[in-house]
Amino acid sequence: MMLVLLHPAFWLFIGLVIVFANRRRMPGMPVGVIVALGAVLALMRAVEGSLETTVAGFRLVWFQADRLSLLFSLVFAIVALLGFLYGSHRMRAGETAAALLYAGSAIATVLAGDWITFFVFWEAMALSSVALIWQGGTAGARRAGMRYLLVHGAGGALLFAGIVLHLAGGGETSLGGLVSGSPPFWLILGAVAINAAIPPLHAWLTDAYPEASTSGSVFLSAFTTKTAVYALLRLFPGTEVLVPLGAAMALYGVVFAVIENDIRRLLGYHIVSQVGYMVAAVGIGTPLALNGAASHAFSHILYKALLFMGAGAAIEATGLRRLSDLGGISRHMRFAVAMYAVGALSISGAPLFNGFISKSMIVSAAGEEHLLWTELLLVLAAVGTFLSVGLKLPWFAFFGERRGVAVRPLPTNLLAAMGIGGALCLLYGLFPNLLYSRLPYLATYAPYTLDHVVSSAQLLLATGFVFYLARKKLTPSPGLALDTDWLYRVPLARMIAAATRALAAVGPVARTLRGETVTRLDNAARRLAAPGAPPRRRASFAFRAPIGWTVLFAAAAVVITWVVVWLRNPG
Amino acid sequence: MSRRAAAALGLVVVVLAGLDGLAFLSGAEHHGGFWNSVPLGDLALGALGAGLLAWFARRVLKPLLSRPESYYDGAGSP
Amino acid sequence: MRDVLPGLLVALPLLGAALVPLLAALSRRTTRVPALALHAAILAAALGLFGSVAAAGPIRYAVGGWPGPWGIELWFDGLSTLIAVLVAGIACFAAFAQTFGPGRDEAAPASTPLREGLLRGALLLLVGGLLGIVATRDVFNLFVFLEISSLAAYTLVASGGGRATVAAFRYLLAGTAAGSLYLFGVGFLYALTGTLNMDDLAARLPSVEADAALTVAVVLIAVGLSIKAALFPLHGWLPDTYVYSPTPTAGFIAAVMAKVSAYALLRLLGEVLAGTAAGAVVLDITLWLGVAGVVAGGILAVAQRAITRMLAWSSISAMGMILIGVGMGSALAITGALFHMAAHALAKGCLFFGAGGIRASRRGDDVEGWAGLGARAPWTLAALTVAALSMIGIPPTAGFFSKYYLLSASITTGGPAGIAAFAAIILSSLLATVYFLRVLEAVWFRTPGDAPDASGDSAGRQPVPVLPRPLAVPVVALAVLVLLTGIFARPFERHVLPDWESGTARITAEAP
Repeated sequence: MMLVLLHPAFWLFIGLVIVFANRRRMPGMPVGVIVALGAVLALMRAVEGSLETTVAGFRLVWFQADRLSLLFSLVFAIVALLGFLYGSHRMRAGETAAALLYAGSAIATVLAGDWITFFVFWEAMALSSVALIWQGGTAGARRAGMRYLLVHGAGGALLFAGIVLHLAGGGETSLGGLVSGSPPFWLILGAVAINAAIPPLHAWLTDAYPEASTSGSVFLSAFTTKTAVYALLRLFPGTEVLVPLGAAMALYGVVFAVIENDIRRLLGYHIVSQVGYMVAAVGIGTPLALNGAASHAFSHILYKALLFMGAGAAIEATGLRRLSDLGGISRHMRFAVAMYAVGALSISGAPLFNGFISKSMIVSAAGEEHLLWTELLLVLAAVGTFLSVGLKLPWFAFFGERRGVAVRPLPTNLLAAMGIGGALCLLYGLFPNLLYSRLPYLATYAPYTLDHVVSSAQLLLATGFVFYLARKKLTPSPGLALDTDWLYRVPLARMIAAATRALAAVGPVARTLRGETVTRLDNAARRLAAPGAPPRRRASFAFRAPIGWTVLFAAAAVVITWVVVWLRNPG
Repeated sequence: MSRRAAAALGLVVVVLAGLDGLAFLSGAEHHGGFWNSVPLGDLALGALGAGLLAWFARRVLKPLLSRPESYYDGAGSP
Repeated sequence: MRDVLPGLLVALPLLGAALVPLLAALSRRTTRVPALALHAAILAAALGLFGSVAAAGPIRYAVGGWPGPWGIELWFDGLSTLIAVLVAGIACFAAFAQTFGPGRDEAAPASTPLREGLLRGALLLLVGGLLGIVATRDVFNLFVFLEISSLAAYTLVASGGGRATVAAFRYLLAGTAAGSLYLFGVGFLYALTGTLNMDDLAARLPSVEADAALTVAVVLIAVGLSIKAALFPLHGWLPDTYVYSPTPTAGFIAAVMAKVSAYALLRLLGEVLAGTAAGAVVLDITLWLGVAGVVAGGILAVAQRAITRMLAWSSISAMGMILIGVGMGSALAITGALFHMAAHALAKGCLFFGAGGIRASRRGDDVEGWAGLGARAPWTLAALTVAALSMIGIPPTAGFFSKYYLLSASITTGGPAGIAAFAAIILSSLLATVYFLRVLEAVWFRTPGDAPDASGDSAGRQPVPVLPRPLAVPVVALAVLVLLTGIFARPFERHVLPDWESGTARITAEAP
């Protein structure tokens, strides 16, 4: 039993029980902060090793701690703590419960040592994140959640199919052991690619994350994609196809972010872009690149949560979410803007901030392997990142033209969470060894060389100059940009509607039965049951299966058999 | 841009170029691309890249993909 | 015990079916105690047999002391005792709901002790018929039990009045056609081999393999049983029957009725007739129709607005899945099929008891009517959520493991059929995600709008509970069972598989 206490997800699940039991009496918040703190402390004490239980014949390795899984679970626990603190002034029991389950499943997925445990929590993560999106409470959130569910349902099905194939082909139940190029390899890679938001499978992210509540999107920004990065690191290191995919992905997100108007969707595109760095690094597969992917995931979770907190602060203060509506509010929320700037400099890879110590590692790893195009694309993506997250978003949201937007004061807990997040970004940026000492692979790296610092300073300076010249042209305007979600929101939806209509109208027999016979029978029955009741003009039986068809098919089967038998045995 | 700001910017560029040259002369290991080996190469790449990205997104992508906010309303989507 | 229980298991419900209405007619008082006691006794007998078979191997029981192949034999092994426990167990819940039920649906005639007694008798008769099908080793006797169970089912369905009457009539048309086809098939078999005992039949079939009439017999039997098992496209009776039946009946029928027919199909086609050429072809066709049913049922479930009708179409999809397992025929596939019977019976029983009860208390059957119910009745809705997750196949619920077995089996089967089965099962999970999560979203994340509410808050009366207790108890209990079945999947596999393998091996060995 004491061993259970070591599992960080256990703390969050206990919190779930407490929140559920007290859902009417108290808001869930303090529970969330406390149990997340418990999870962080449990991870501080955690040592490498594994624990397993045999449940009904299945060997379940529910705690497999090595440097890689401990690194991810630690940052997951930290960001959960920040998220609960950030949202504590408004999160209700339902949202807290969803967030607890989501964070807990993400941690448990990362710590899973066998395929079944991994799959269980992977699915729990999908379901709880949908629940969290639905807590946004708007009709838009409901529909986006349904679409998100559709995509992740497909992802879960792929993963399930892959695991079953892997096990049926004699694979071990312990995580890993995929044979490169085999069908389970591709199926599971497909499932992970959906969760990692690799274009064209990324649209669920930018579609749904802006629809959650402000605190909801802080949680969402952290777990799903980074669990996928963890899965890539664990299962697919050195898979070469990931290199071009990752590099293209890094640039894809950046380009879409330039024209995006919704502040959280803009940040969502930058999740796609940043995860692109990690995907490319996993594909490169050298120890330095893998360390880069792991450390960039760690840094990214912290600064991206901070950025979403900043965007959420603007939304909390004004109720507006579009760049074209916001502007000139920085005077009213100086601390939040300052912390946002810390996050923006981190994601842009400015020296002294935590994005620098991890992003430069990936770029250098690409350089060491002489992947010139990859390196170039990643550098361009860094430029674009600073352009939209570091300059465009704050300029049009916080500074710029004053539009007379009413600004409410921000609650202390929200600012405290942002302060801690900003402090962590700076701490890891100033003392990179705090992070490097925890990295899983054997590779050394020195971020603060003159070369690295000067080149990133030049890039940022040039980008700033270009923005200064082109800022009028970059003014955001209302409207949305089509992305790959169009494929299932318009053509696929129409196809399904057409298919159901076709299935529903199964020919003249069905029509006759629906229109005439059944109505008559139905009315007769109604008269029988309640004399004097008015007859119905038409029975409203939707999508009924006509009984005549059943008999017809049965008769056809028998007659066909008869004929076949007779033809074969004449006489 | 005011005269003083332009002067400050110029100074920063000169300092960066000097540091770049220093790094080059010190023979420190360069990471990867050719643009690292050229003094102020990163500056040029940054300006070019940012300009290109902004131009592509605004002039090519936006006209192609931009739709009114109400585009998906009533499109029969789930 | 082993000498008495087999006979008792079949005799108890049939005797009870006669006694309970008689008692009601004579005493003119409620018969709830004897009826419930009988159901409990039947369940105890089934559990006793289950344990006895698990401990000491299969039981062959000659009715009236006449040994086969002349007398009627009953046969209990891991497969049949499992289905028997399932039938008897869910019957207990149905009887509980029927006895303490939430009152009648609006269309049903007024209740009297005699009418209640008759309906209780019909339920017992239905249970007796189903247990007979499960137990018997005689193909004609199986027909008799098939008709007994069908007649009892028509009565129970029609007791809902109104539309249920029409549904029962449609069910009767399909059921009669099914029964007649099956009987013709048995007639052919008897004319060919001169025996009705299954083991005897299996032994004699190779000598008549060349006869064309055998093909006709196999097809007639398969089509007849497929109608009863709602194999797509012979499923026409199912949706209306499930939707318009009174809730206790709907819960019971939806849970076990079609499954027992699928079990009979498995026994006859998969075991007795599997050796014949025609049997093999028919099993292949069954597999492909199962694939079609899984997909079509899933798509039409997505298209439904009414929740009970959505559940009915999801049942057609699930029956397709079971018959895919039967069609594949490997030991692993049979395990998957049986496990899916158990998993689906528990989950669908739970869902129909819940959905029927909520429909009655809220006067609404659409998703909007369920908005915000999670906050009002968290425990029952949590139970329904567990059942829905099992239908989707989320671990550790039972539905996950049945899909796991069936998928593994389809991989070992291989070929186009294996690939199609694999893809269909994966797709069905996806479709189930869509149609169940749509409901769960309304339940847990929406606030009740101006949905039609029969709770009478506005009139100042006591609010009616979302789900009356007589239905909430089975719902919660079944959800717990869904979880337990999932967690103890492996022991289950060990219980059922060896009996199936030894059973088929026995028949192959006895064939000369």
